[in-house]
Amino acid sequence: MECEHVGFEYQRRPIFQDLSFTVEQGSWSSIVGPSGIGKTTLLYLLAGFLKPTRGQILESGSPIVGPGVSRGVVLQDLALFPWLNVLGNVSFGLDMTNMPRDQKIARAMANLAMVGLADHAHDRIDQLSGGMRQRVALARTLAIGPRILLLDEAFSALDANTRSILSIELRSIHERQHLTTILITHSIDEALAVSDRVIAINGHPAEIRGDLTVPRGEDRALLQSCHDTVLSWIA
Amino acid sequence: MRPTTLRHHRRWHWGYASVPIVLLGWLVATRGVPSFVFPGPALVWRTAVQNLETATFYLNVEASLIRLALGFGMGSLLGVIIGVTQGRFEWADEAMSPFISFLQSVPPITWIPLFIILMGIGDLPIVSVVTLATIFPVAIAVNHAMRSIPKTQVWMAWALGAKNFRMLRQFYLPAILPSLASGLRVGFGIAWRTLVASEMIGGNNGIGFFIQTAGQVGNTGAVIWGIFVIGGLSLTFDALLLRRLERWHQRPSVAQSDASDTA
Repeated sequence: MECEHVGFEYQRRPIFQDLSFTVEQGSWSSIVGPSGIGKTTLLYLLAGFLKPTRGQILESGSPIVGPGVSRGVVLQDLALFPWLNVLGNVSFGLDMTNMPRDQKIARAMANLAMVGLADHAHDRIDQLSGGMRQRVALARTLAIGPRILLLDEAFSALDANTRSILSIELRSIHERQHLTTILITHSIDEALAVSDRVIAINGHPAEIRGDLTVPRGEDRALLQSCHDTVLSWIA
Repeated sequence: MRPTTLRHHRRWHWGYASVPIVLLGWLVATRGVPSFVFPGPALVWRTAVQNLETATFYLNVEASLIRLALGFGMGSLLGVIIGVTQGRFEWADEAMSPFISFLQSVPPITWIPLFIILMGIGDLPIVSVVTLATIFPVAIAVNHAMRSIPKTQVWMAWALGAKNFRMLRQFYLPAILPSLASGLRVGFGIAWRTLVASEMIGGNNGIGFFIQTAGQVGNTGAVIWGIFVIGGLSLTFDALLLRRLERWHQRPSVAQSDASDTA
């Protein structure tokens, strides 16, 4: 996925002016920056919900002109459909295809099982905890089989334990399904915990202030050094 | 649960108790008043029993119900189409809003003289005016509901592959259903009142026509009996159809019900 000189204005105020970066296939990149900088707007641009006012965003070499099922999105507010129960939400995207019903249900149930919610398939959305809703949103997006996964503050509403468990699960799903994942977050720790690469944005209009490859392993001193580096870019 | 149940029972007891109280008040109010001016419960009861034995009564009810079904059905459909179009497209909302604001402020019954001139006495002007009465409350409720759907939900539906008719059927309609049901209840009330008034002015049968002709010959018992029929039918529709419709939005989707069946 490539951003080529992307600019975006909202009510004549430039949010981005010239944003360029490339995300390698199969990698997990996190975009970090302070609150209100335009991170969510960037995700909306990558998802095709908004159109850049200049430049273009390419997916496999083709410009993105709107939302598409190859790019799965989990939004910060989750945007679950309250009139459907858990299984209805997860099978929503599959209902938009011509897949036979029994296959739709089997696939939706498999995705629910993957996020540990198979026993809650018939629960209403308002009966679920924040962490469970987050998993439903993830299962709903993964059920359509995207190649690219776009996550907006995917763990922000969760308590520390749930955040840790879900981030490990997500990383595992990312690797198993060979996804290209882009996580938008304000948390440097969260980004360093799951990503291969961290892109820091800051400023008005926002621009890339740094780009870091995250070392894998348990070297705490090295991770702390990465944390300090990213912090210096977005502080 | 317990306090709610107790409150529910108390409400029902008061509901039952209020019937004899009202009947007693009615009896007292009509004492000393000539029955052709204000009939008591006994005369209305006798009139009701006589009417229920005649075919004319059922033909009148049938005529009204057919007109209501046609007018309310077409008005609801048009209201949904207009409301969805307005809610979905900004240009459509800008183009239609002034006309809808103007037309919805006009009492529907005022159209009946024009419709009678255009279409003659009979079913067509009455069905048309009932259709007109239904369109606006439904369209306004649907338009408002469409605008109340969070933008992120619409985006997510797109991102999950919903478009065109499937987007309408599986996203927009379920999303607006609670508001649509409320709009239909409001629309039904207006349609029902408009129907009776239209039949009184331009009908050659129907419940409104029945009340009008009864009033012209001084049969006040039949007038009050007609009022009871209108109120009773309205309550029946509300309980059997419209309240159920408001609960309908909690139904499971096709995939959900299938999964429940196989579970």
